[in-house]
Amino acid sequence: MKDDKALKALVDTLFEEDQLASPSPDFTKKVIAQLEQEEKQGLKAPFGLPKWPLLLPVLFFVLCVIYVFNTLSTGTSKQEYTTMFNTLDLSFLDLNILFGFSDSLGYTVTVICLAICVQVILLKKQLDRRFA
Amino acid sequence: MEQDNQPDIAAILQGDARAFAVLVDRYKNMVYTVALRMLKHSEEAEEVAQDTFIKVFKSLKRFKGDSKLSTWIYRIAYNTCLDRLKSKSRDRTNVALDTVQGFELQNMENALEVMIQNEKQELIRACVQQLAPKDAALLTLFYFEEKNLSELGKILKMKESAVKVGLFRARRRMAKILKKSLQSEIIKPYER
Repeated sequence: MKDDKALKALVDTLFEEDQLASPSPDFTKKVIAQLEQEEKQGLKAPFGLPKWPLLLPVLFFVLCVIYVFNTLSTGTSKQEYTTMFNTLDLSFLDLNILFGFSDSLGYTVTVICLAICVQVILLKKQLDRRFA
Repeated sequence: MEQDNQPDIAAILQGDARAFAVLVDRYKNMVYTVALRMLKHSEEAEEVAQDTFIKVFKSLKRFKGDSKLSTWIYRIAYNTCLDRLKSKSRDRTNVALDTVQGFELQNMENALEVMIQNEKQELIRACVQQLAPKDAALLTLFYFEEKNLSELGKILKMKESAVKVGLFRARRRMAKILKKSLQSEIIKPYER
């Protein structure tokens, strides 16, 4: 306890002589210039995209899912749910005319698209935060 | 201290660059000192200090006055330094927490007494340089900012009790570094 007090007294004495450091003389000017530059850039070309276009792919995907699942019956039997993916009506895509397009490839592409949509939103948020 | 030349927040919010320059001038030394002691690099410290004031300007409209303006600015500065350290994974400086005996403290005090002011300032700078960033910030803010534990807690996002413990540990680490730095000064009188 006695040592603690002596330690505090020693560091107190030492810091009595301490002084604040100073940045470069034109520091304030630099800050103001940086602010003005950022404001100009902001007016010319806003870095952040508006949010609504990013929601469009997600909305499009949701509409596609609703459209495809609309062809399914509304019954609630277990079997219908488990075989749901086999009965998906993807004929509106008509991609088989151009090239062989298996169901699993279709699902994979859909999942990848969805993942990209989500990641674009997350990436935008992160970039906004970093450059804020 | 905070009464004279008070920055005009309303004017800054309206985009008055002069009013903001007053704010920068008022707090730049403290912000820069904290950054310098945490990052241990003058150019980087200046960059971080600039970033701090840009953030202050951008988020000033969100300042509600729950705490002192200085507390709010130092918190932004402290967090900006932590972010910088995190991005470079450099928060590795730390000194083991050893006990310094009473007679050793007395020896150090005697050695300090014979030093002139400039030497002491240089010594502080060298010792703080060896402290971990958080300890360096804690001691700097404590000794320059009215020694107010509650305000310090708000800056560092810590409870008052944690600030007290942190200060105690930082002082012990400082004493250990000081002991090492003063080794030659302590030995000198015995050599005569």
